[in-house]
Amino acid sequence: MTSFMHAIAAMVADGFTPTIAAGVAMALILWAIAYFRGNVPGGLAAVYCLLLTAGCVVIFYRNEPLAGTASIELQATISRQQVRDMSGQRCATLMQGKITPLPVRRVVCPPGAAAESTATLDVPSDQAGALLAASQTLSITALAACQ
Amino acid sequence: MPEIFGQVLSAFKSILSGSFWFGAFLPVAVFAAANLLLAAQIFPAADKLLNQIGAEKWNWLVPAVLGLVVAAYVLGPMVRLFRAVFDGRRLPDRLFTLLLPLHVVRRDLADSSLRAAKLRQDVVGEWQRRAQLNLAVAKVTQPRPVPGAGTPRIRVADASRLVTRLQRRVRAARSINVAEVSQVEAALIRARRSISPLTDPIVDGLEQSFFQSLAYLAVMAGSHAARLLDRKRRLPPQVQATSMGNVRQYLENYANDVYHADFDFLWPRVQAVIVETDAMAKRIDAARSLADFAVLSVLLTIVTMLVWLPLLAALDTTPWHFLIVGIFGPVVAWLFFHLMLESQVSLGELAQIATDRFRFEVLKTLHIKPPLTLSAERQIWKTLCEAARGEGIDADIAWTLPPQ
Repeated sequence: MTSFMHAIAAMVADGFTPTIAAGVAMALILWAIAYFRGNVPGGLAAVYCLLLTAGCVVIFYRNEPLAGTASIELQATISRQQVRDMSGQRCATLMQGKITPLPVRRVVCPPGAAAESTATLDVPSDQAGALLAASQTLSITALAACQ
Repeated sequence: MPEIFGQVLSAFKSILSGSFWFGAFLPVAVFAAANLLLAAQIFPAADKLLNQIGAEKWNWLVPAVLGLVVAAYVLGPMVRLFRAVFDGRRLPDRLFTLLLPLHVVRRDLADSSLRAAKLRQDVVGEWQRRAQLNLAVAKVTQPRPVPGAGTPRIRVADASRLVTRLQRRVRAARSINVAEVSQVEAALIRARRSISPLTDPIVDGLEQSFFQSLAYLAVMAGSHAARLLDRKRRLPPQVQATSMGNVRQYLENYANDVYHADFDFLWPRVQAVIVETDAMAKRIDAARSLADFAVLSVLLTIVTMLVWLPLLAALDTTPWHFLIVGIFGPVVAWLFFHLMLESQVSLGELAQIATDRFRFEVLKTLHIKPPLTLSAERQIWKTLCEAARGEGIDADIAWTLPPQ
């Protein structure tokens, strides 16, 4: 039972499985409603639900950190408004621009409105040391670029 | 900049009608803004553009508005085509054949539901008539109390309990069957027969409560039947493949049913004789603008979804924008689709009123002698429509001399 729970927890943690499971479950429910009520829009909704699931899986797959990357946490004190203005995409784009030529694979900015916040950068393992060494100055610069 | 913009806008205002601004330009402008917002989420250039517009430092405002006006001007006349697709006339044959059975089934279900509701209405009416008759007979029974009818107190208490139970169940909208009604009726008859005429008011009160419950049931059955009839009206006998097609058919059948005239023949001519200053012209213009707005909005919502769902899946880093467009897109399309149906109904009803009011103006414009009876009028419209369709006509039409 414990191993089963661990397996479930691992599946939930990876992001793919819950998306696929939720999408397929929703599609099955819609299909069942359509089947028992003889309702064509219900069947179309099920197909649409599967397409949305596929779209989410594509997005997850494209943005999954590559093998051999390391996550580095940078901390900086920023205002509530600055944090609120951050969106994953915009922040990632700007931060990648700022810290070039270090090849950052992915940047996750916190969505909340905390006064002090952390940004996580996925970088290739061999570059992690260099980035970490520069993090004292880099963190402030990078997060300032997120405004 | 605002002065130039105002001058350009007022120049266009004088050329283009109010229905253009509301029916074509507004949806195009709204969806252009929505698309720019979406683009800003994944393209930095679009984000920069959005910030420039917000900061009022943008030199491309006038060209952008002109571009939107031109896009709306091109899309405006295409609304007829889009409407024809939505109402099934321009749907591909395969899709039409696929969708048609769904509406045939809907019509059959609506028919059977309406028949059931009417039957229920009749049944409740029958219960009322039978109860009135039987209870009136019990009241005039002589001599009373009837020997062997039972103890008055027990009979009255029994009837009171059953009447209260029926009342409670009717108010709770529970299903009432004939056995239940007959049971209450029999209990009231037994109570009436067990008491002397002097104590009749006790059972009179119970009877009144019983009849009130039956009247309540009759009202409920009537309302239900009326609701179903209203729904069925939008499903004409010549059922179409889409809801929009059914609504159109039901509204356009009016001209044929009443005057034996084809809607497509009569309606353009009626519109031509309505003077611009008439209140009806303004109402028709407003209804048509709303209908155009809804048709274009449905189309632009579908196009926005078809364009942005694949783009967001391919370019975005998080699934949130994709999910927002994917979930709210169909909801918005559904809302606009129903706005399109309702605006079509509103326009169709105005068309019916305008046809009733202005059809003699059409005859006058065509120099046709006004008919004295409805059947003569029907013959005129039938002949004209047949001639317009290129069919051989077997009746003649009397002209009036144009004024000298």
